[in-house]
Parts: sequence; C-alpha cells; structure tokens
Amino acid sequence: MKTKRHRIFTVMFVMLLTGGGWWLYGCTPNWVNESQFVDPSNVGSRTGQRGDGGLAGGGAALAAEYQLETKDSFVAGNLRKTRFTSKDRLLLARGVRKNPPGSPGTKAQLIALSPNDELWVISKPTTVAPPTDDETPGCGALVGVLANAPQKRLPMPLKHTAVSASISAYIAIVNVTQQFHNPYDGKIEAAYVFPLPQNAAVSEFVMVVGERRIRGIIRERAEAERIYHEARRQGHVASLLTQERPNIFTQKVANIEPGKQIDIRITYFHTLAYEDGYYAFRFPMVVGPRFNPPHMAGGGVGAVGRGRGGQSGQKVEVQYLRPNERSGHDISLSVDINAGVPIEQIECTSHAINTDRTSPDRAAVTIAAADRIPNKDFVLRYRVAGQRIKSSVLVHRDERVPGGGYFTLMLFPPADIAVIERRAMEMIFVLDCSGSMNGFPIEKAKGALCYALNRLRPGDSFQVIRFSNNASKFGPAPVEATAANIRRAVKYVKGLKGSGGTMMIEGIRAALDFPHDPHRLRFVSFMTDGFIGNEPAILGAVHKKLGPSRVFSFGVGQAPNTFLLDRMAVLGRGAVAYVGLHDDAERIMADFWQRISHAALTDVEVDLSSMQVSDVYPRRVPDLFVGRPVILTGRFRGEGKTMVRVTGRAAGCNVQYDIPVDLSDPVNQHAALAGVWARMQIAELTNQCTYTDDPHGELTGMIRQTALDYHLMSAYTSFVAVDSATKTAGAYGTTVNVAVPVPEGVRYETTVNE
Amino acid sequence: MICVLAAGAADVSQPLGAAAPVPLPPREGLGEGRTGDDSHRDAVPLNEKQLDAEPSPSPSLRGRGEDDADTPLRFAYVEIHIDPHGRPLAAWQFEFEAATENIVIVGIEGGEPAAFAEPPYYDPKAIQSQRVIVADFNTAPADQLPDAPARIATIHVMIRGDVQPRYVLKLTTAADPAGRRIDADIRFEEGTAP
Repeated sequence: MKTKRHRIFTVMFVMLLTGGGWWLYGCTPNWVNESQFVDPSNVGSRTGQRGDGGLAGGGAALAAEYQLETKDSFVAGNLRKTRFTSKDRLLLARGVRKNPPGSPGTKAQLIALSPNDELWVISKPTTVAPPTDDETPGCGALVGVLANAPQKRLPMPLKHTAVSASISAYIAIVNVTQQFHNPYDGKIEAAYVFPLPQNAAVSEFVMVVGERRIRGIIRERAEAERIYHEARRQGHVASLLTQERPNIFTQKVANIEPGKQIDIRITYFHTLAYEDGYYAFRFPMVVGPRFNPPHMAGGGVGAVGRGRGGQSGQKVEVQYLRPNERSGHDISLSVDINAGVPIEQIECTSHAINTDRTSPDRAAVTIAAADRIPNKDFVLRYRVAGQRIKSSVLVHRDERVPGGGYFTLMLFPPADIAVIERRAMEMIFVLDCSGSMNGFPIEKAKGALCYALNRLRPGDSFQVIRFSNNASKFGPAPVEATAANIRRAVKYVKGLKGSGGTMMIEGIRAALDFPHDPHRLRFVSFMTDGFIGNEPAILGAVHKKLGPSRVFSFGVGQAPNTFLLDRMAVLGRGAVAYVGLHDDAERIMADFWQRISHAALTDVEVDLSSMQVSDVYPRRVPDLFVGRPVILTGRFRGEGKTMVRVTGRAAGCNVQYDIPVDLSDPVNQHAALAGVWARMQIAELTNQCTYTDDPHGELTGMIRQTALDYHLMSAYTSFVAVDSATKTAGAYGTTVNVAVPVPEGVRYETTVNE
Repeated sequence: MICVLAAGAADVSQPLGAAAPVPLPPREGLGEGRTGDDSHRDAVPLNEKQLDAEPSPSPSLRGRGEDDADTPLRFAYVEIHIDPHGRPLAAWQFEFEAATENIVIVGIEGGEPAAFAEPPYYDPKAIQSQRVIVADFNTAPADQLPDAPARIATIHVMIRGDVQPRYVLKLTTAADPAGRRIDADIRFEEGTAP
C-alpha cells in the first residue's frame, strides 16, 4: 500500500479461529486495491473481500493473532484483550508479510507502512468460526468466519416475526405475528419454542390461512391438545399454543403444505416496570439454554443442537443453531408510546433503533433494519417529565364486578424517606459461575459485584458465594467490611470463572441457611442469567428460607430468565435489575446501591377500605425502596372520589401518607385492567403452588377457571384453532422444530447438549 | 478508532416464494424427533387422562359427551349468514348453541364482507358450555358495509361420535351505522371439508 496516497487508521484484527484463515486488508475511505491483503494461513493469497461499512458497538471481546514483519525480521504473537474500545490502537512498525521468511507458499504480499501510520481494517465475515477460548463471543456476536466452511443458511419454517406494541400509561398491549411457511416439498408441522414477558397475559390468538382468519378458542390444555392432534391426524390445518413456563410458550402449526404460509397472531398485555425514573419495556426474543438438575426427570427445559430432538430427556426442548448456522428468521418491532406526559428521554442499549417524536408525550420507536436477528431481548427505557412521579391509581369499571371494576395502584415511597440513613447491612453476594455465564455475562457480574464491595461502609458485613455444580464461599462466615477484607474479596471475585452446571439451589442454601445477624439488615444479591429448568424448586426454596432477609436479583446477559428473577424479587421482598451485555454494569449497580443506601418503607399496609376492595395482589405488600414503586391490582366497588392511606416504618420511624383516588372511569381506556388483575391472580396462585401442597387440585382448578373466565393462557389452558373447511392431502407430514440462535454472548459449546 | 463489523448484520430476509422448494431430508436430519414423543398424545382417552400428573378437572369444567379411544371424531363447519334486507349492517350479535352434547367449538372465522373479515370476538364464559355468543361491529361508512345477504362468520366444530349434530341459532341484535336496530334474518349452513 502506498502510504503516501492513503490516509490510514487504526488496525483491527478479527481472528478466525481453529484452522481458519483471516482476512486482513488495508482500507481507506476510498478503499484500497483488493489485492492488498494478507492471509497468514499460508494457503496462498486470495482476493480479499472489501468491507463495506457497518459498525458494531465496542466492547467486544476478541482474541487476535497478528504477524508483523519489519523489513528485517518477522514477528508473530498473540494479542488478547477482553475489550476493545475506540481508543485502542495498534501500530505496525513496518510492513506485514504473509509468510514467514523462508517458508513455502505463494508470493508474499507486503504492505509497507511508515512509522506512526495506522492501518484500518474492516473485515466482513462470510463464514463463522466456532469460538474456542474464553474471550471469544458466542453465536450472534462478533465472530470470525471460516474461509473453507461457508455459513450454512438453513430453511426453517419460521420466516419472520412482527411485533407491534402500544403503550398507554404503564400498560403495554403487544401484537405478535409469526409467519410460518413451508420451504420443503412435503407437508410439515412447525414447532417453535419462544419467550414472552413473564407477566404477559396472552388473550388473543388468530390463525391466518391465506385470506381467511380463524380465531382460536381457549380450552383446558389437555382438551386443546387432543383437538389439535386429531385435527393434525386428519389433515386439517391447525394450530396450538401452550405455556411451558410463564415466560416460555410452544407454538405448533400442523399441515402446512409446500410453499404455503400460515400466520399466527398473538396478543398479550402487561404492566411496565418502573425503575429509577425510567419505564422499561422488554420484549424477549430467545429462550436461553437451560441447565436441568439431574433429578428433573423430564420436567425441565432441554437445550439441544439442531436436529437432536429428544436428546435432553426433557418434555420441552429448544433446538439451537450451531455457531456456523443461520435460519434466516428475522424480527421487526415497533413501539408506540403514549405517555400522557412529556417524554424526556428514550434509550435502548440492546438494539439500534429509530425514534420518531410525534409530539412531546408520544413517540414511535422501531428496530433498525440492520439489527433484526432475534438473539437478544429488546429493552426500551424512557423517562417522563415530572420532578417526582407520584403514586397513582388506574381504574376500569366493568360489569363483571357489579357496582365496581378493577384497579391498579402504583405505589411510590414518600419522598422524605430518601433522607433517612439506612441501617448497617449484611450483604450476601451470590454469583452464578456456571457454564452459561462464561465470557461476557460473568465479566459483567463480577464488575458489578466489585463495585458493590467497594461501596460497603464500616459497620457492614459481607459474604461472597459462588455456585455452579456446587457452592463455595469466600469465608466460613460473613466478615466485617474492612478495607483489607474488601481487598481480599475483590481479588477472590476477579479470579472466578464460569463453567459447569447451574445448581442454583446450592447457592440459595448457602446464602440463606445460616443464622441472621439481628443487628444488621440482610440483603442477598443473586447475580445470574437464570438459565435453569427447575424454577419451582428455586422459588419454593426462597420462600421457605427467606426469613427476615431481602432478595435482590440481578439478571445478567441478553436473554435472562425474567420469570425466575422477577419472582425471586417478589418472594424475596426485594427488587430486580437487569444488566445486558451493552449496559453499564457499574451504573446499574450504582442505582441499586443508591436505592438501598436509604431506608426502605417496611411493614407496609395500604388501607383500601374506602374502595371496598377484594382479591388484591400481591397479598403482602413488598418493601418500598426509593425509585422502585410497587403495583397493587385488585377489584373494587364504589363510586366517586376517595382516599387511600399508606402506613409503614422507615428506620424505626412511623410513616403515613394519603393518595387521592377517583373511581369514575369516564373514558374507559383501561379495559386491559381486567386481564391484568386476572393475570396477577394466576401468578399468585402459581406461586402458592410452588410452596404449598395441592393434593386435591384446588389451586390448579382455580388457576384453570380464572384463565378460562378471562380468556387467558396459563399452564392449564391453551389456545387451539382448526380450519375444518379444508383438508390437506396425505399424511400429516414431518415435524420441523424451529431452531434458534443461542443468546448473544452465550457460548454454544458450554450450554447446548450435542 | 477501532471499527468492528458485527457478524450477523447481513440481510437475512427471504422473499416469499423466491427459493425453490427444498426436499424434505430424511427424518433424522430434520430433528423432528418430537413426533415419537407426541405419539402418546394422539387420541388420548379421557380415562387415561386421569392418570396424568395434573389433577383432574372439576366436574363443571368437563366437556359434554366425553369420548373414549373408539369414539370417532370429525371436523365440520357452520356458516352463519345474515340478510339485512337492504339496510347497511354495522353491528350484530348472535347466539349459537349445539343442541346435542357432542360438539366442541374449535375456531371462529371472520366473514366474507371486508367489514367483517376479522374474526369476531366471543364470550369466554358461554363457550365453556358449548354455546357461543358472537358479536362484531364496524364503524365504516354505510357504503362500505354489507346490505345484502352475506356470510358474516363461520363456526368450526369438532363432532364426537356418529350422532348428527343439531344447532340452535338466534340473532340477538342487528344495527345500522346510526345504532338503530334493523330487521334482519339469520340462518346457517353446515359443511365438511371435501
């Protein structure tokens, strides 16, 4: 390369691992000659591929191998970093030669550089190499490509998913359309395991066959499955939607003829989380590979490679694409926000988005076209104006409650507790060190944990527990938060790695199965991706062993198990926060620390007698922390304006404040509240099932009846739709499971059963 | 400045019908292994269901006309037609019930006119007892609404046994764009897939 003619920039290498070649070529804004590249694999020079733009976010963990040759010598070595930022630079001393001096091979290419010149490299991978070390990201993130193994694009029945969300106040109504088509020359049945938000109330289901639209019927699960299987056997196009977990669903579509397309439209609604000034809308896109303890006996969620159905021994399985495989399935997503008050800020760290501000209190957000691979959750946060968001009530009058209706109460702690200092804490940090945390997730978690250790105050105590196949501790008992102890703990944490299974129950026992210090408030902080298949056992253990502790769960990664982590926080009377791979872990931990640095409002009681309420959930009001409201949902009777009184204790002082309520519903714009309440009742009953015996099936019967009455999906009710008017010819065909990518940042090799 | 191109940022869209059909590979290559696991679910008799881990449903939730492994099952459809006698039909509600205890409703389809192409909503309580209350409305101008006899919905059913089903259909209300009740007739036509 003629340096005099080109202005060149920082060099960047993307390593292609395990026998692969790598492409390195110089480029300038005007692009250099294609022949000016180097291939150190010694297989001969070849035409390089010019990169043509596209930038990913920084923070990728890459391993690079470089070979530099000066005029007189040849240098080879390894460069390993955990993070590249925009400030990283590599200066080449001199030119780069393809082959070491004296080695056989084709004619060497030489790029001559002047001192202090920088070579800017853009590599556009054409194939994908499997990662082989701890620092290389997994499928869907930054990986290199194998020159001799072109990326396999596999035909899959799921072609496209379209998501359209509408947010009003703090309730989101979401429409999801899954487009199934048959790329094969024979009939197929498509089977697809996918996630939805763990508090989603799935209320509508429509099957679209050509121009015809058939609304599905909610049935008891066993009956729905029987109807579906019979329809499938007889050749009718049919679809079945079942719930495996509150956040995992299975969609089946039978008798899709060759070349035909069947669309499934699902509608659900849920309340948004409010976290430290931001409303958060999350749409999960992929189920993370779950670890199932040996005793699960088929009741877990299996993770197997594509085409390996049945290997996990679990009733529910997710098939994952290998790192060099792609399905072609993409996703489009749009969110329409009607906040009702001016929106001050909108941010999304998970995806590139386009934002259209149609008015101060409205915004339309869409995922950018270049970011549509469904391998990570979509997380949108927005802040609304107002010095302080006040406690508020939404009501919906409904004939199903004579003389009343349904309400939600968003309860904030009073502002004045923010100045009350907290008591001494006993911090128990529990870190997931299983294989699925390997790489990005555990590095994020460790960073947050070390930040928290350095914020402990004199008088506090702490313990650090790690778990994977088993659990072990930093010390035999919690230690005082002295500078020396903190230094030792930080060193201990930094040395932890991720490997092995996820025996989370061991971590819970280690964290909660020892006497509570009566002079300190115990906070147990779990840092995990939640990739387990035995959620009921975990939640049951938290409920039984909690005592006076508080549980704060941190979900780490691009597709954490939000059902598990949210429920742990609810049962643990704490809160939950999520740290994505592109989130600032320290900032999120700082927000958490700010919250617990002030007294919480405990022993909260809400006097709703003026509203004649019934069936209010959650049954026990959690503690109120600064910046984290609690949402109560229930039924009411009455009319007009009234008052709700909230009482509690903060740092030993009594606290009381009133919230005005208007029970009229003039615009009738919150009809979804009925379904929100029903969903909360189902969640409460489901929680009870995890720690209460149900020998006569009363709890499951109540869940089933609520779901049927309010037309909702549950573990015991399913949607089924059958097109009785047409029959397809031949046997019902082959079942094709839709394989999905592992979540971004998760290693296929350590999490998927091959 | 470091510039990194994200893997997987390539366009992944596949135009519908652009690719030639792919031959179905041998079963083991597609990972359809669930069919073996699913076989036990085909036509599971109700008496076997009681052996499942789940508790049995309460009596009020049992479908009428429970079947066993030998009960033949077939699917059929019932088209619902309304004749508004020349008036624009903006809203309607009907009640449909199976007079015999061997019917399960398995889908509700939208109608022929564009104004009612979307599948109508049904009352979730009523459908638990094998009857359905279905309603729909459209706020379009009168010239976009049907005023001649039209199929406004189709009920898809599963029929147990050989007994010929009997249905009862009742039009609850029909209204024009101004919300005024209109005189309309309702009827149904049964059919099965060819």
